[in-house]
Amino acid sequence: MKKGEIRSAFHAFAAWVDGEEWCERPSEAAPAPQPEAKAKRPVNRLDRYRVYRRFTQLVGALFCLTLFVLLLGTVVSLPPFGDPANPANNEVSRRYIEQGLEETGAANLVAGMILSYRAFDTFGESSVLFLAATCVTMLLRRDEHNTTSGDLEEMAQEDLTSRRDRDIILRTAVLLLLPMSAVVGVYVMLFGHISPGGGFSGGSILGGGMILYAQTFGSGNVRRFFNEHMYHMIKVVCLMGYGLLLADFVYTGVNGLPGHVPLGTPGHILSGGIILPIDLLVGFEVTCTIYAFYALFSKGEL
Amino acid sequence: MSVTELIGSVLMGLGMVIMVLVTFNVFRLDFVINRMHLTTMADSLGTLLIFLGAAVSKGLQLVDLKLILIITLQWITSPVCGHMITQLEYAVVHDLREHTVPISPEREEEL
Repeated sequence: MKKGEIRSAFHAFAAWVDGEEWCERPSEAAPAPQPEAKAKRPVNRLDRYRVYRRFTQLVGALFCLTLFVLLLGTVVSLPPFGDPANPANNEVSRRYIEQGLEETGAANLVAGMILSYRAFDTFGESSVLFLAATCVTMLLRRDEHNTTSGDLEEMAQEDLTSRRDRDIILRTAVLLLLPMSAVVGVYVMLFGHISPGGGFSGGSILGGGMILYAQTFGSGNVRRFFNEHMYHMIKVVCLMGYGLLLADFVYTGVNGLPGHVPLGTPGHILSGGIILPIDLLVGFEVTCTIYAFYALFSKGEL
Repeated sequence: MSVTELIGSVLMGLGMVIMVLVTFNVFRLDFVINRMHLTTMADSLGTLLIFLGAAVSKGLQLVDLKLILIITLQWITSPVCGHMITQLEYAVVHDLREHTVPISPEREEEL
Protein backbone atom coordinates (compact mmCIF):
# COMPACT_ATOMS: atom_id res chain seq x y z
CA MET A 1 0.00 0.00 0.00
CA LYS A 2 1.36 3.38 -0.96
CA LYS A 3 1.40 6.41 1.27
CA GLY A 4 -1.45 8.21 -0.48
CA GLU A 5 -3.65 5.14 -0.39
CA ILE A 6 -3.16 4.72 3.35
CA ARG A 7 -4.01 8.35 3.79
CA SER A 8 -7.18 8.23 1.73
CA ALA A 9 -8.23 5.02 3.46
CA PHE A 10 -7.73 6.74 6.79
CA HIS A 11 -9.81 9.71 5.63
CA ALA A 12 -12.57 7.39 4.46
CA PHE A 13 -12.52 5.63 7.81
CA ALA A 14 -12.64 8.93 9.68
CA ALA A 15 -15.54 10.04 7.50
CA TRP A 16 -17.31 6.77 8.27
CA VAL A 17 -16.78 7.24 11.99
CA ASP A 18 -18.03 10.81 11.78
CA GLY A 19 -21.15 9.56 10.01
CA GLU A 20 -20.74 12.02 7.17
CA GLU A 21 -22.98 10.14 4.77
CA TRP A 22 -25.73 10.54 7.39
CA CYS A 23 -25.31 14.15 8.37
CA GLU A 24 -24.27 15.91 5.20
CA ARG A 25 -26.39 14.39 2.50
CA PRO A 26 -27.26 17.70 0.80
CA SER A 27 -23.61 18.65 0.27
CA GLU A 28 -23.17 15.84 -2.27
CA ALA A 29 -25.39 17.65 -4.75
CA ALA A 30 -23.12 20.66 -5.06
CA PRO A 31 -19.45 19.72 -5.22
CA ALA A 32 -17.76 23.06 -4.88
CA PRO A 33 -14.96 23.88 -7.38
CA GLN A 34 -12.87 25.33 -4.61
CA PRO A 35 -9.27 25.46 -5.93
CA GLU A 36 -9.99 28.08 -8.64
CA ALA A 37 -12.10 30.16 -6.32
CA LYS A 38 -9.39 30.13 -3.74
CA ALA A 39 -6.71 31.16 -6.23
CA LYS A 40 -8.70 34.23 -7.26
CA ARG A 41 -9.42 35.50 -3.81
CA PRO A 42 -6.82 37.39 -1.79
CA VAL A 43 -5.76 36.05 1.58
CA ASN A 44 -8.87 36.23 3.75
CA ARG A 45 -9.74 35.23 7.26
CA LEU A 46 -10.63 31.64 6.35
CA ASP A 47 -7.23 31.04 4.75
CA ARG A 48 -5.50 32.61 7.67
CA TYR A 49 -7.49 30.37 9.96
CA ARG A 50 -6.38 27.33 7.92
CA VAL A 51 -2.73 28.34 8.23
CA TYR A 52 -3.22 28.97 11.92
CA ARG A 53 -4.83 25.58 12.37
CA ARG A 54 -2.01 23.83 10.55
CA PHE A 55 0.48 25.70 12.73
CA THR A 56 -1.27 24.78 15.98
CA GLN A 57 -1.52 21.17 14.87
CA LEU A 58 2.21 21.12 14.19
CA VAL A 59 3.10 22.75 17.48
CA GLY A 60 0.73 20.48 19.36
CA ALA A 61 2.23 17.38 17.78
CA LEU A 62 5.76 18.59 18.58
CA PHE A 63 4.78 19.36 22.17
CA CYS A 64 3.16 15.98 22.65
CA LEU A 65 6.18 14.22 21.15
CA THR A 66 8.59 16.10 23.41
CA LEU A 67 6.49 15.36 26.47
CA PHE A 68 6.24 11.72 25.43
CA VAL A 69 10.01 11.36 25.09
CA LEU A 70 10.69 13.19 28.35
CA LEU A 71 8.21 11.16 30.36
CA LEU A 72 9.37 7.86 28.85
CA GLY A 73 12.97 8.80 29.65
CA THR A 74 11.95 9.47 33.25
CA VAL A 75 10.16 6.14 33.45
CA VAL A 76 13.29 4.36 32.23
CA SER A 77 15.40 5.96 34.96
CA LEU A 78 12.92 5.14 37.76
CA PRO A 79 14.04 2.54 40.32
CA PRO A 80 12.82 -0.96 39.45
CA PHE A 81 9.46 -2.07 40.84
CA GLY A 82 9.63 -4.19 43.99
CA ASP A 83 13.36 -3.83 44.54
CA PRO A 84 14.19 -3.98 48.27
CA ALA A 85 16.91 -1.37 47.76
CA ASN A 86 14.43 1.28 46.61
CA PRO A 87 14.45 4.57 48.52
CA ALA A 88 10.80 4.08 49.50
CA ASN A 89 11.72 0.98 51.53
CA ASN A 90 13.23 2.79 54.49
CA GLU A 91 12.87 2.26 58.21
CA VAL A 92 9.49 4.06 58.30
CA SER A 93 7.67 1.60 56.09
CA ARG A 94 9.53 -1.28 57.73
CA ARG A 95 8.25 -0.12 61.09
CA TYR A 96 4.68 0.17 59.74
CA ILE A 97 4.78 -3.33 58.32
CA GLU A 98 6.51 -5.05 61.22
CA GLN A 99 4.90 -3.37 64.21
CA GLY A 100 1.81 -1.69 62.76
CA LEU A 101 -0.53 -4.51 63.74
CA GLU A 102 0.44 -4.62 67.39
CA GLU A 103 0.83 -0.87 67.81
CA THR A 104 -2.45 0.18 66.20
CA GLY A 105 -4.54 -2.98 66.44
CA ALA A 106 -5.90 -2.45 62.92
CA ALA A 107 -5.89 -5.37 60.50
CA ASN A 108 -6.08 -2.86 57.64
CA LEU A 109 -2.61 -1.39 57.75
CA VAL A 110 -3.53 1.66 55.68
CA ALA A 111 -6.23 2.65 58.16
CA GLY A 112 -3.74 2.12 60.96
CA MET A 113 -1.32 4.40 59.21
CA ILE A 114 -3.62 7.30 58.34
CA LEU A 115 -5.74 7.27 61.51
CA SER A 116 -3.21 6.28 64.14
CA TYR A 117 0.34 7.13 63.13
CA ARG A 118 -0.72 10.06 61.00
CA ALA A 119 -3.99 11.00 62.68
CA PHE A 120 -2.87 14.60 62.87
CA ASP A 121 -2.53 14.77 59.09
CA THR A 122 -6.02 13.32 58.64
CA PHE A 123 -7.33 15.84 61.14
CA GLY A 124 -6.01 18.54 58.81
CA GLU A 125 -7.85 16.92 55.91
CA SER A 126 -11.11 16.91 57.88
CA SER A 127 -10.58 20.56 58.73
CA VAL A 128 -10.08 21.30 55.04
CA LEU A 129 -13.42 19.63 54.32
CA PHE A 130 -15.06 21.63 57.08
CA LEU A 131 -13.61 24.88 55.77
CA ALA A 132 -14.59 24.07 52.19
CA ALA A 133 -18.18 23.38 53.19
CA THR A 134 -18.25 26.57 55.25
CA CYS A 135 -16.95 28.63 52.33
CA VAL A 136 -19.50 27.08 49.97
CA THR A 137 -22.22 27.91 52.46
CA MET A 138 -21.01 31.49 52.72
CA LEU A 139 -20.86 31.95 48.95
CA LEU A 140 -23.90 30.09 47.73
CA ARG A 141 -26.47 30.31 50.50
CA ARG A 142 -29.60 32.06 49.41
CA ASP A 143 -30.92 35.03 51.40
CA GLU A 144 -32.90 38.19 50.69
CA HIS A 145 -29.88 40.01 49.22
CA ASN A 146 -29.15 37.65 46.35
CA THR A 147 -32.58 36.30 45.52
CA THR A 148 -35.21 37.97 43.39
CA SER A 149 -38.88 37.09 43.34
CA GLY A 150 -38.35 35.67 39.85
CA ASP A 151 -35.90 33.13 41.25
CA LEU A 152 -38.37 32.07 43.89
CA GLU A 153 -41.14 31.72 41.33
CA GLU A 154 -38.91 29.63 39.11
CA MET A 155 -38.01 27.34 41.96
CA ALA A 156 -41.61 26.93 43.01
CA GLN A 157 -42.46 26.06 39.41
CA GLU A 158 -39.68 23.46 39.33
CA ASP A 159 -40.88 21.97 42.60
CA LEU A 160 -44.41 21.73 41.26
CA THR A 161 -43.21 20.07 38.05
CA SER A 162 -41.09 17.54 39.87
CA ARG A 163 -43.93 16.73 42.26
CA ARG A 164 -46.40 16.29 39.42
CA ASP A 165 -44.24 14.30 36.99
CA ARG A 166 -42.74 11.72 39.25
CA ASP A 167 -41.15 9.01 37.22
CA ILE A 168 -42.30 5.58 38.36
CA ILE A 169 -39.27 3.79 36.89
CA LEU A 170 -36.77 6.04 38.63
CA ARG A 171 -38.64 5.87 41.93
CA THR A 172 -38.79 2.08 41.89
CA ALA A 173 -35.10 1.78 41.07
CA VAL A 174 -34.13 4.30 43.76
CA LEU A 175 -36.28 2.55 46.37
CA LEU A 176 -34.48 -0.66 45.41
CA LEU A 177 -31.01 0.86 45.56
CA LEU A 178 -31.27 3.26 48.48
CA PRO A 179 -31.26 0.68 51.32
CA MET A 180 -28.33 -1.07 49.67
CA SER A 181 -26.30 2.12 49.39
CA ALA A 182 -27.04 3.06 53.02
CA VAL A 183 -26.02 -0.39 54.28
CA VAL A 184 -22.88 -0.42 52.16
CA GLY A 185 -21.93 3.07 53.35
CA VAL A 186 -22.32 2.19 57.04
CA TYR A 187 -20.50 -1.11 56.47
CA VAL A 188 -17.56 0.60 54.80
CA MET A 189 -17.38 3.10 57.67
CA LEU A 190 -17.62 0.46 60.42
CA PHE A 191 -15.12 -1.96 58.87
CA GLY A 192 -12.57 0.68 57.89
CA HIS A 193 -9.97 -0.74 60.26
CA ILE A 194 -10.48 -4.35 59.11
CA SER A 195 -11.01 -4.22 55.36
CA PRO A 196 -10.40 -1.55 52.72
CA GLY A 197 -12.62 1.45 53.27
CA GLY A 198 -12.91 4.01 56.02
CA GLY A 199 -14.62 7.23 56.84
CA PHE A 200 -14.00 9.11 53.61
CA SER A 201 -15.22 6.39 51.24
CA GLY A 202 -18.12 5.31 53.45
CA GLY A 203 -19.23 8.91 53.87
CA SER A 204 -19.10 9.44 50.13
CA ILE A 205 -21.37 6.42 49.58
CA LEU A 206 -23.86 7.64 52.19
CA GLY A 207 -23.79 11.17 50.78
CA GLY A 208 -24.35 9.82 47.28
CA GLY A 209 -27.37 7.92 48.55
CA MET A 210 -28.76 11.09 50.09
CA ILE A 211 -28.25 12.99 46.83
CA LEU A 212 -30.09 10.23 44.99
CA TYR A 213 -32.97 10.45 47.45
CA ALA A 214 -33.13 14.23 47.19
CA GLN A 215 -33.10 14.08 43.39
CA THR A 216 -35.91 11.56 43.23
CA PHE A 217 -38.22 12.56 46.05
CA GLY A 218 -37.38 16.25 46.41
CA SER A 219 -35.35 18.14 48.98
CA GLY A 220 -38.42 18.61 51.17
CA ASN A 221 -38.41 14.94 52.06
CA VAL A 222 -34.73 15.11 53.00
CA ARG A 223 -35.43 18.12 55.21
CA ARG A 224 -37.67 15.94 57.36
CA PHE A 225 -34.68 14.10 58.78
CA PHE A 226 -31.77 16.36 57.84
CA ASN A 227 -32.26 20.10 58.12
CA GLU A 228 -29.78 22.93 58.36
CA HIS A 229 -29.65 22.95 62.15
CA MET A 230 -28.79 19.27 62.16
CA TYR A 231 -26.19 19.78 59.47
CA HIS A 232 -24.31 22.36 61.53
CA MET A 233 -24.65 20.24 64.67
CA ILE A 234 -23.25 17.11 63.01
CA LYS A 235 -20.38 18.92 61.36
CA VAL A 236 -19.23 20.77 64.46
CA VAL A 237 -19.71 17.84 66.82
CA CYS A 238 -17.87 15.45 64.48
CA LEU A 239 -14.88 17.70 64.00
CA MET A 240 -14.70 18.59 67.67
CA GLY A 241 -15.00 14.95 68.67
CA TYR A 242 -12.19 14.05 66.31
CA GLY A 243 -10.02 16.83 67.71
CA LEU A 244 -10.66 15.83 71.33
CA LEU A 245 -10.01 12.14 70.62
CA LEU A 246 -6.82 13.02 68.80
CA ALA A 247 -5.64 15.31 71.58
CA ASP A 248 -6.27 12.60 74.13
CA PHE A 249 -4.43 10.09 71.96
CA VAL A 250 -1.48 12.36 71.34
CA TYR A 251 -1.00 13.19 75.01
CA THR A 252 -1.51 9.71 76.40
CA GLY A 253 -1.07 7.02 73.80
CA VAL A 254 1.48 7.98 71.21
CA ASN A 255 5.24 7.37 71.13
CA GLY A 256 5.19 4.23 73.21
CA LEU A 257 3.27 5.75 76.11
CA PRO A 258 0.58 3.40 77.46
CA GLY A 259 -2.76 4.63 76.09
CA HIS A 260 -6.02 4.01 77.87
CA VAL A 261 -8.01 3.22 74.72
CA PRO A 262 -7.88 -0.60 74.49
CA LEU A 263 -6.56 -1.90 71.17
CA GLY A 264 -8.59 -5.11 71.21
CA THR A 265 -8.04 -8.19 69.09
CA PRO A 266 -7.02 -7.32 65.53
CA GLY A 267 -9.72 -8.39 63.09
CA HIS A 268 -12.63 -7.96 65.51
CA ILE A 269 -14.96 -5.05 64.99
CA LEU A 270 -14.19 -3.48 68.36
CA SER A 271 -10.48 -3.12 67.82
CA GLY A 272 -7.99 -0.59 66.62
CA GLY A 273 -8.24 1.85 69.51
CA ILE A 274 -9.31 5.27 68.25
CA ILE A 275 -9.60 4.23 64.60
CA LEU A 276 -13.22 3.07 64.72
CA PRO A 277 -14.70 6.21 66.39
CA ILE A 278 -12.61 8.46 64.19
CA ASP A 279 -13.79 6.60 61.09
CA LEU A 280 -17.40 7.11 62.15
CA LEU A 281 -16.91 10.81 62.90
CA VAL A 282 -15.09 11.45 59.63
CA GLY A 283 -17.73 9.45 57.76
CA PHE A 284 -20.62 11.54 59.07
CA GLU A 285 -18.76 14.73 58.34
CA VAL A 286 -18.05 13.66 54.76
CA THR A 287 -21.70 12.70 54.33
CA CYS A 288 -22.78 16.16 55.47
CA THR A 289 -20.22 17.88 53.26
CA ILE A 290 -21.16 15.98 50.12
CA TYR A 291 -24.88 16.49 50.58
CA ALA A 292 -24.36 20.16 51.45
CA PHE A 293 -22.32 20.71 48.29
CA TYR A 294 -25.13 19.22 46.23
CA ALA A 295 -27.90 21.09 47.98
CA LEU A 296 -26.14 24.46 48.00
CA PHE A 297 -25.08 24.27 44.38
CA SER A 298 -28.49 23.17 43.13
CA LYS A 299 -30.92 25.01 45.43
CA GLY A 300 -28.89 27.39 47.55
CA GLU A 301 -30.25 26.03 50.80
CA LEU A 302 -30.18 22.84 52.78
CA MET B 1 -7.07 -24.45 27.80
CA SER B 2 -10.05 -26.00 29.47
CA VAL B 3 -13.62 -25.86 28.24
CA THR B 4 -14.72 -23.24 30.76
CA GLU B 5 -11.85 -20.97 29.79
CA LEU B 6 -12.79 -21.34 26.14
CA ILE B 7 -16.43 -20.48 26.81
CA GLY B 8 -15.40 -17.57 28.99
CA SER B 9 -13.03 -16.11 26.43
CA VAL B 10 -15.66 -16.43 23.69
CA LEU B 11 -18.16 -14.56 25.86
CA MET B 12 -15.65 -11.86 26.75
CA GLY B 13 -14.68 -11.52 23.08
CA LEU B 14 -18.32 -11.05 22.12
CA GLY B 15 -18.71 -8.41 24.81
CA MET B 16 -15.64 -6.58 23.55
CA VAL B 17 -16.93 -6.70 19.97
CA ILE B 18 -20.15 -5.08 21.15
CA MET B 19 -18.20 -2.41 23.03
CA VAL B 20 -16.05 -1.56 20.00
CA LEU B 21 -19.07 -1.43 17.67
CA VAL B 22 -20.87 0.88 20.08
CA THR B 23 -17.85 3.15 20.45
CA PHE B 24 -17.58 3.71 16.72
CA ASN B 25 -21.27 4.00 16.07
CA VAL B 26 -21.80 6.55 18.83
CA PHE B 27 -19.74 8.90 16.66
CA ARG B 28 -21.65 7.89 13.55
CA LEU B 29 -25.08 8.84 14.84
CA ASP B 30 -25.78 12.49 15.50
CA PHE B 31 -28.77 12.63 17.83
CA VAL B 32 -28.91 11.93 21.53
CA ILE B 33 -31.73 9.43 21.54
CA ASN B 34 -30.19 7.46 18.69
CA ARG B 35 -26.92 7.40 20.59
CA MET B 36 -28.76 6.38 23.76
CA HIS B 37 -30.08 3.38 21.88
CA LEU B 38 -26.48 2.23 21.43
CA THR B 39 -24.85 3.21 24.71
CA THR B 40 -27.48 1.52 26.84
CA MET B 41 -26.79 -1.62 24.83
CA ALA B 42 -23.10 -1.37 25.71
CA ASP B 43 -23.94 -0.82 29.37
CA SER B 44 -26.25 -3.78 29.63
CA LEU B 45 -25.34 -6.40 27.04
CA GLY B 46 -21.63 -5.63 26.78
CA THR B 47 -20.99 -5.66 30.53
CA LEU B 48 -23.21 -8.72 30.94
CA LEU B 49 -21.16 -10.68 28.40
CA ILE B 50 -17.80 -9.54 29.77
CA PHE B 51 -18.62 -10.23 33.42
CA LEU B 52 -20.31 -13.51 32.52
CA GLY B 53 -17.18 -14.52 30.62
CA ALA B 54 -15.04 -13.60 33.63
CA ALA B 55 -17.30 -15.62 35.91
CA VAL B 56 -17.38 -18.69 33.67
CA SER B 57 -13.71 -18.79 32.76
CA LYS B 58 -12.42 -20.06 36.12
CA GLY B 59 -15.28 -22.40 36.96
CA LEU B 60 -17.46 -22.09 40.05
CA GLN B 61 -15.94 -19.78 42.66
CA LEU B 62 -17.03 -17.39 45.36
CA VAL B 63 -15.98 -14.48 43.15
CA ASP B 64 -18.77 -15.41 40.74
CA LEU B 65 -21.32 -14.20 43.27
CA LYS B 66 -19.66 -10.79 43.35
CA LEU B 67 -19.66 -10.64 39.56
CA ILE B 68 -23.35 -11.55 39.48
CA LEU B 69 -23.98 -8.78 42.04
CA ILE B 70 -22.14 -6.32 39.80
CA ILE B 71 -24.24 -7.41 36.82
CA THR B 72 -27.45 -7.00 38.84
CA LEU B 73 -26.54 -3.51 40.01
CA GLN B 74 -25.48 -2.55 36.51
CA TRP B 75 -28.76 -3.82 35.11
CA ILE B 76 -30.76 -1.88 37.68
CA THR B 77 -28.92 1.42 37.36
CA SER B 78 -27.85 1.77 33.77
CA PRO B 79 -31.23 1.32 32.01
CA VAL B 80 -32.82 3.74 34.47
CA CYS B 81 -30.05 6.22 33.72
CA GLY B 82 -30.65 5.90 29.98
CA HIS B 83 -34.38 6.21 30.56
CA MET B 84 -33.94 9.45 32.51
CA ILE B 85 -31.65 11.04 29.91
CA THR B 86 -34.06 10.09 27.15
CA GLN B 87 -36.99 11.51 29.12
CA LEU B 88 -35.16 14.79 29.50
CA GLU B 89 -34.35 14.89 25.81
CA TYR B 90 -37.96 14.07 24.94
CA ALA B 91 -39.15 16.92 27.12
CA VAL B 92 -36.65 19.46 25.78
CA VAL B 93 -36.29 18.78 22.06
CA HIS B 94 -39.15 20.12 19.96
CA ASP B 95 -38.47 18.64 16.52
CA LEU B 96 -38.04 14.99 17.42
CA ARG B 97 -39.30 13.87 14.00
CA GLU B 98 -36.36 15.40 12.22
CA HIS B 99 -34.07 12.95 13.93
CA THR B 100 -36.11 9.79 13.80
CA VAL B 101 -36.76 7.39 10.96
CA PRO B 102 -39.51 8.72 8.64
CA ILE B 103 -42.83 6.99 9.06
CA SER B 104 -45.45 6.19 6.47
CA PRO B 105 -47.96 8.96 5.52
CA GLU B 106 -50.99 7.00 6.82
CA ARG B 107 -49.37 6.68 10.24
CA GLU B 108 -48.46 10.36 10.11
CA GLU B 109 -52.10 11.25 9.62
CA GLU B 110 -53.12 9.15 12.59
CA LEU B 111 -50.67 11.04 14.77
